[in-house]
Amino acid sequence: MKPSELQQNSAEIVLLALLEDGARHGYEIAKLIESGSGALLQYQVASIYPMLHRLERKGMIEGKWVEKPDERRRRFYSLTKSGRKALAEQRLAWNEFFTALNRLTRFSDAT
Amino acid sequence: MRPDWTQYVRLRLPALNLRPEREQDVIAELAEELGQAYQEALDSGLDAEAAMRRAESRVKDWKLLANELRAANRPALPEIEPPRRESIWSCIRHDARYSLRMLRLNPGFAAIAILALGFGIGGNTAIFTVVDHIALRGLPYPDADRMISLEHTKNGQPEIDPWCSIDNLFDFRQRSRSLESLVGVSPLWNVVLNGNGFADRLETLFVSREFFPVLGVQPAVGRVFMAEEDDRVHPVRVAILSHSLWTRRFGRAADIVGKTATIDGAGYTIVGVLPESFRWRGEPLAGTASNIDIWMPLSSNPLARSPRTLRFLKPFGRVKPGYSMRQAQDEVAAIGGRLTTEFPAANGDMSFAGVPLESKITGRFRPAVYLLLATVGFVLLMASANLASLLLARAASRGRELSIRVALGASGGRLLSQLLVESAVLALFGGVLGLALAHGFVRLIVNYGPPSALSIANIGLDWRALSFTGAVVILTAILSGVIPAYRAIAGTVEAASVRSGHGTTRNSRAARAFLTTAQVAIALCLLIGSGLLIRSFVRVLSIDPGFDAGNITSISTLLPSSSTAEQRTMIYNAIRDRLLALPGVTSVGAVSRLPMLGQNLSSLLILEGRETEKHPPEVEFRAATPSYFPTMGIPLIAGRLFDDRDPPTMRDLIIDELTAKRHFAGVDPVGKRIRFLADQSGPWYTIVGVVGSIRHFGLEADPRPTIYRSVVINPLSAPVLVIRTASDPISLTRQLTETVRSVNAELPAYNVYAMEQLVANSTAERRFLMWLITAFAISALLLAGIGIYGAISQSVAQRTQEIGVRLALGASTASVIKLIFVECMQLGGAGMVAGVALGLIGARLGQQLLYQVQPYDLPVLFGALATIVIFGALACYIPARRAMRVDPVIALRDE
Repeated sequence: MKPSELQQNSAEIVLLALLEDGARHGYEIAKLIESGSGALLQYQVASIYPMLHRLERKGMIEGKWVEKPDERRRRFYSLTKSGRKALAEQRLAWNEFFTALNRLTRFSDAT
Repeated sequence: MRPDWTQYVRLRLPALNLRPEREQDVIAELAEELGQAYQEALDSGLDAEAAMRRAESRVKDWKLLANELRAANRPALPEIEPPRRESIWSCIRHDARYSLRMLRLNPGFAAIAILALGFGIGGNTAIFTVVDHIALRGLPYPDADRMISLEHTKNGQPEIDPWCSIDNLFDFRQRSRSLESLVGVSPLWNVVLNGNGFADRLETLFVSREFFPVLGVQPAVGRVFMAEEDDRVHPVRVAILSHSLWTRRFGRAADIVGKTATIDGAGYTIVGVLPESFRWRGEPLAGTASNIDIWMPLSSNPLARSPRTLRFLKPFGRVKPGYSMRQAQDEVAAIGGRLTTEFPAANGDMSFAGVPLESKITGRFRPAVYLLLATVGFVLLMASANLASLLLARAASRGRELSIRVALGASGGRLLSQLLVESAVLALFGGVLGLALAHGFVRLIVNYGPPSALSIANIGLDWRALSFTGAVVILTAILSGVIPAYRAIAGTVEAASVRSGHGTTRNSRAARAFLTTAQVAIALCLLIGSGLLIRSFVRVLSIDPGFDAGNITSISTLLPSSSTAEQRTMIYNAIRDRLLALPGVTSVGAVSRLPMLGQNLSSLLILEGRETEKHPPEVEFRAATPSYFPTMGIPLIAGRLFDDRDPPTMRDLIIDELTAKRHFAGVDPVGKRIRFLADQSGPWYTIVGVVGSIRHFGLEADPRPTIYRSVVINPLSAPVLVIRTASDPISLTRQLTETVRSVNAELPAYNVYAMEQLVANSTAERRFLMWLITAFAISALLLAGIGIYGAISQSVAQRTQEIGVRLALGASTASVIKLIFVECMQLGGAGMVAGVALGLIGARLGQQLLYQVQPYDLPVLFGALATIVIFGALACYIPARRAMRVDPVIALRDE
């Protein structure tokens, strides 16, 4: 599997996790992903905004326009209660998945 | 100058078709993103142009982005409600309520659908009820499926169903190992019950003593026969009464057992009364409306000590446990074969076979029963197809509604259940209406149908009919609901990808065309069937019975069995003279067996000079008065008739034309002499005349050779009087009967019939079947008409624009009408081909119901085709006229 495909499937948990500590806007999220993954994961605008909108539709995150002094008007996204719950569930699921994967392939030994 | 990123995005991002505010938001957000990237690039020291490129590289494919955004922002499909949260029943309740609301909104649609279904279901239930009683359900006796009837067949004369001699019956009983309780039943016997000052003529059967035990009959009062009462050597005069006679004549007297009844002048001890429900349905009653009043032991029948040559019994028995029906049948055939070789004089030209009693009794009705069931089944199919067609049309016009329901998250299964519940609601209403109609239909059939077929049971709706109706309703709901539901669901899925619904309507039109074709085929098939039956019936009606039935009344009577020959002659002459004295009576005669009454007696002859012939001629034997022939209108063909002044010593005979042709071919029979095989030492009789042949057994049965002997030789003890009147005898019937009884109060007068009625009765079953099938064929035709009309109307409505264009481009109205009719013919053509094929197959299968008409009778085929073409054209005409009136301007503005 290429990183881009893994990336697709993991996008939801990544976005939710990045919003766990506080509200962020789209550009910031994209930057965080790039820097946090050592530029291995790169999200296009073409995918990050539709993903955010989808999560918003599902009620997991909430978008709000915020205007700060000396800054431009930006749309900030924050986790909702159900988003937090979904994040916890997905962490558990991914954890189980990785443990199982590791047990089978010992891929953590390969590093 | 900083670029206007909002304008930049707006120019590049394709329309998202979201709410305007939301679309603004998305554009602003993207603009902000690009603006930030641009700013960051500037901050990192790039020049404006490079920063611009860096920002622009954030979005590589605007179209893809727009698609993704559109998908992400579409209202999310609500989770399909899992069935555990909403039970199936609440779903169905909801759907049923919804369907009822839809039906209230479309009362016309609802009325047509429910009426058509009600008729289909009602017809089915009624016919099922009737045929179930007369042919489908088993006989009401224990182990009825193990009962076997012993059949005698005369070699080469399969149409004659001879009886069994009492010696043959005893031999079968003695030799058989696979049969138990072999029972003999006498022919229907008329006796006279005297007492309380008036005589009652009663129908009687003489039966072996095992008869009631085999049939599992428990008497209501008293007991059944005992072994010593059915003794051939010392018969005992005992009798068992029917429940109705006990009620009628004896007021249900509880102390009836042990009383003596005077039957035919002799005293009989009453030993029991049968339960009210008991009816014997086997031979010799099968196919008659007779009700037996008195039962007597076989041994007390005057013929019980007759020789093997006298055949007068209908035997049946039960297969012993441990033996199969097949084994019993083989054994009957084997014993029969031995009886043939052992007694060649009596059994030489006979074959013997065992037939299951049930198929023997109901077999006569089987072809008609299957034909009727198939017909009503077809009519139900048509009603279902009609409903399916209506539902299809509605589904097409409800495409929007269904699409919205899908868009709102209804699953295919949910939609299917909704549409099926809708057809089920309609079918249920149709079923309720159908039951009411069925009740009426059954009453109608029982009241006007042939009593010979319908009097054997109390026919009415019961739980079997109800469960049948239930099954029919469910079947109808599925049949009529599935195609429309499937089309509707497929249609909405297509509609999700295609903006308008044209694909859908095309496919639903194809489904409708299929249904219409099927309806045309079925209607044509039924028309052919009904045409063939009508033609057969007309053929039967045009048959000359050989006598003139108009204005003739028949009265059967029975002279006291103790009377001497002279007394009988005197009584008959007194009756004749009193009848002739009545105004309006023109002539009176008497005969031993009247045509159409189902009684006969045959004799074997020895022809003078041909005494050694291996197969002596068998003829029908009658005793007649001289005036019988002119009274009946039977023509004299050669020689002379009897004369009133003939002395009892004269030995004249009259033969019929057929006897002359068959046994005196090429010679003049008048003057030839004949002797009876049963009376080989008796006198020779001289043929003095030849009369016309008559159809004795019914219009459809060919005449049989017949000879007549004068009553002066053997005065009749049971004369059947024939009385010709100058006008319609109906008003005289009562007077005629009273005149007969005025001679002697103890004389019964029964079987009082207008001869025309008797002739008509012989065709009653055929007429009845013809009317039923024709009624169903007409309703099928109507249903097909509605089907064609609906399909063409829908097509015209959908092609309004096309027609408008054609008219605008100068097409004549004639060419538009042609267009519609071509479509009609396309719909009808395939149906007609299929219908003719179906009709021919059906006619071949039911060929035995036809009379002198071939299954491929051309006039019938063309008549049926013409009917359906004319009807189809009528059904097309109304929509065609509507098409003609299409205003091109309005039609085109629609688009």
